[in-house]
Amino acid sequence: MTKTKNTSFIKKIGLYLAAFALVLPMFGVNSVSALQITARKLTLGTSQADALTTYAFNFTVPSTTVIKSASFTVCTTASGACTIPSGFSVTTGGPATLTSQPTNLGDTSGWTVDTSTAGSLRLNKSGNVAAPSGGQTVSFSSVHNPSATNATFFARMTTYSDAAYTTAIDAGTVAASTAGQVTVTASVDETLSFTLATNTVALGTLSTSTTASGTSTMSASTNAGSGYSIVVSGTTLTSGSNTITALAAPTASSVNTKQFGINLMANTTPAVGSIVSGAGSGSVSTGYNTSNSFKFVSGDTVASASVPSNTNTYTVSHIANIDAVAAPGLYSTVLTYVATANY
Amino acid sequence: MIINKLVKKISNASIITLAMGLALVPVFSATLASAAPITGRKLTLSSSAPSATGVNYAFSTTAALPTTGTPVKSVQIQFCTTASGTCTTPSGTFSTSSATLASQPTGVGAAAGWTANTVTAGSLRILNASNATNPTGNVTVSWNGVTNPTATNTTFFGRVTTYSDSAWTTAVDSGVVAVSTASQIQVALSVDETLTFCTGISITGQNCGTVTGSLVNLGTGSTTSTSTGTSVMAASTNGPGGYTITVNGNTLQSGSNSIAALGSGGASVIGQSQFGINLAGSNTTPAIGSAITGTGTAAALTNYGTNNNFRFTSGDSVASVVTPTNANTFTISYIANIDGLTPAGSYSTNLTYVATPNF
Repeated sequence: MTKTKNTSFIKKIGLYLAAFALVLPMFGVNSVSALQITARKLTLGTSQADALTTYAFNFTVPSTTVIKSASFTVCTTASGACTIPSGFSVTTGGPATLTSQPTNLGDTSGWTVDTSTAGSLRLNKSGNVAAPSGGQTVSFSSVHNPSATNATFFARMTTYSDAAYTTAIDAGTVAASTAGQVTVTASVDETLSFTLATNTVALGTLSTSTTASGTSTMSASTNAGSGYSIVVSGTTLTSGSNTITALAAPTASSVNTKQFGINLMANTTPAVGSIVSGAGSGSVSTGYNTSNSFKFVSGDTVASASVPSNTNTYTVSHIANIDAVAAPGLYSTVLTYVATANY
Repeated sequence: MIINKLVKKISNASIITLAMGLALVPVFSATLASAAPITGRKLTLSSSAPSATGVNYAFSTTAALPTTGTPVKSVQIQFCTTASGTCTTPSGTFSTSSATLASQPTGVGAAAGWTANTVTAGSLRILNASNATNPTGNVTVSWNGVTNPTATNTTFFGRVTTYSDSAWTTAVDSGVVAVSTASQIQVALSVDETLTFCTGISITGQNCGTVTGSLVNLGTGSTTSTSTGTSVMAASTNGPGGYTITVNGNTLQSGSNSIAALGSGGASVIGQSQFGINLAGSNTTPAIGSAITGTGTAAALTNYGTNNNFRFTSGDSVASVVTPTNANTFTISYIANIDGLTPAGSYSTNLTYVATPNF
C-alpha cells in the first residue's frame, strides 16, 4: 500500500518536471544566467535603407568560457519577442559572409558563417578550444539593411559554449539605425568669360622718326572642353581714302615706313606690351607671339586655349609708323575681338 | 424543590462569577479608570514597510492634554493587536528595544529632561521624574529606532497613556491610535538600449518623427560666388559610451568630372574647385549653418566644428559624444566652389551618415 503511494508520488513529480522542462525554453532559459557583454557596438558600413553592407560588431565578453558559436539576431525591439525588421536579411543579395575571421573570440581561424536562421547573423566553430580574450570583433559582409529609413533596430548578441547556439554564455544588445541618404547636387553651366578692359587706344600723332604705340587688354576663360579662340577683325588705320599699310606678315617695327600691326607680347622695339598673365592655359597664336614682330590680318586668331582654361589676360600692343608721304588726317579703325568657346 | 435548587445553584454561580469579575477589574484597568480621553491624536510612522527597521514613530495631538492641572511624569504608548482589551503585542519583528527619543517632547510639561525607556517590550515610554510643569499645548513625542511588525497590510494600535508618576502607574489621560503596516509597491521599468538617429533637410526641434527631405540643391556653381546648402541630423542614445557619427560618400561628381573635395580642410575660396562640409554654427564665409540644438551633450568634431573651415573626407567622424546623451540636432553646411575649368554638367553625390552607439 505504502509502496503504491510512493510510486504515484514519484510519477507526479516526474510529470511536473517534464512539463516544466517543456515550458522552460519559452522563457529563454538558455539566457537566464548569461552575463552582460560590455563595450559593445555595431558599426554599419552604411546606414542606407535596403543597402547591402557590412555589420561590424565590437564587444567584450565577461566570461572566459570557450565560445563555440555566437549569434547576432536583428530585431525591431531590444527585448521581448523578436520581430525581424522589414527588409533585413542575411541572405538577400548575399548571403552574408564573414568579412574576416573574428578577433579574440577564440581560435584565429576556422570560424564559419551560418545564415540558416532568418534575421540572425551567426558563426560557429565546433572545434574551438581557445578562450576569448580582450575585446572581440566579428564582422559580416553582404548584410541587407532594413527597408525603413531613419528607423532604429537592435542586434541581440549571444555567445554559446556549444556549436549549436544552445547553451548561452554571455549576451548583450546593441542599437543601430538606418538613415536617409542626403543627396547633394550642383549644376555647373557652360561658361565663357571674355572681357575687354579698354575700348580706345590713342596712338597720338604719328611721326616718321618714332613709332606710335598703345595697348589694350582682354581676359578670357572657359570651361569648354576644347578651350577657346580669339579672333581679331577690322581694317587697318584709315583716314578717308588714305590708309596706313597693315603688316600682313610678322614684321619688325620700322620707322619712316607705313606700318600698322599688333602683337600680344612684351616688346622692346618699341617698348610696349606685356606677356600673357593669369592661371589659364591660353596662349598667343602664331604671328602674334614674337616680341618686336607685328602683324595685322583681319580674321586672324590671335590667342587660344585647347582645353578648359582659367582666366588669362592678354595685352594687345598696337604700333603704327608713317613715311614722309603719308597724307595728313585723323586715322582710326575699329577692331573687334571675338572669343569662341569650343565645347 | 427542584426549582429552588436550580435557583440556588444559579445564584451561587452568579455570585462567584460577579465576585471574580469585580476582583479582576483592578488588574486590567485600575490605572485607566479615571483617565480622560486625549483628543486630536495621531501616530505617524516614517515607514509602513513590514519589518522596517529604524522607523520613526511620531505621536502628536492637535489639542492639549485634557488634564491640565496635573504634571505628567511619564508617558507610554503600548502597542497591541487590538484597540482595547487584553493587549497582544504585534507578532514578528516588532520591537521598541532600540528606540530613542528623536527630540524632547512638547506639550507634556518640562521642555527638557525627558528620557526614553525601553524596558517594557512592545511599549514606547518616556519619563521625567522631576517634571513639575503642567501640560500645555499640543503634544509631540517622537521616537527613532523602532522595528515595524512583520505582517503586511495589518492594523495595530498604540494605547497612549500619560501618568502623574514616573513609573507609568497612575494614569492621567489616555487614548488609542491606529496604525498599519502596508505592502511596499515595487515599481519596475526595463530600459532597453536606445539609439534614435535620423537625417533629412528639415526637422522640428530634435524630433526624428518630423524629419523630412533628402535633397540639398546647391544650385548653379559659379566662379564668383560660393554655392551653399544645409541638411540636418538628430541623434540620441543611452549607450554609456555615447555615439559617433561618420559621413560616407563621394565628392560632387558629374560623370568622370568631379569637384575637388577639401580633404584636409580649409576655407571656402571662390574660383577654386572645392567641396566641403562642416557642422559649425556661425560660418561667415559663406554665411551658412546653425548652432547645434537640443539638451544633448554631443558636439561636432574639430575638423568639422570650426567656423569657416570646411572639409570632406569619406569615413570621417563628424560628431560624437562619449556619454549617454539626450537628442541634439546638427545642421550640416555644404559649400561648393568651381574654377574656370570645371566642366559643365550636373554634379551630385549621395552622402550617408552612420551613427554608431557604444554600449
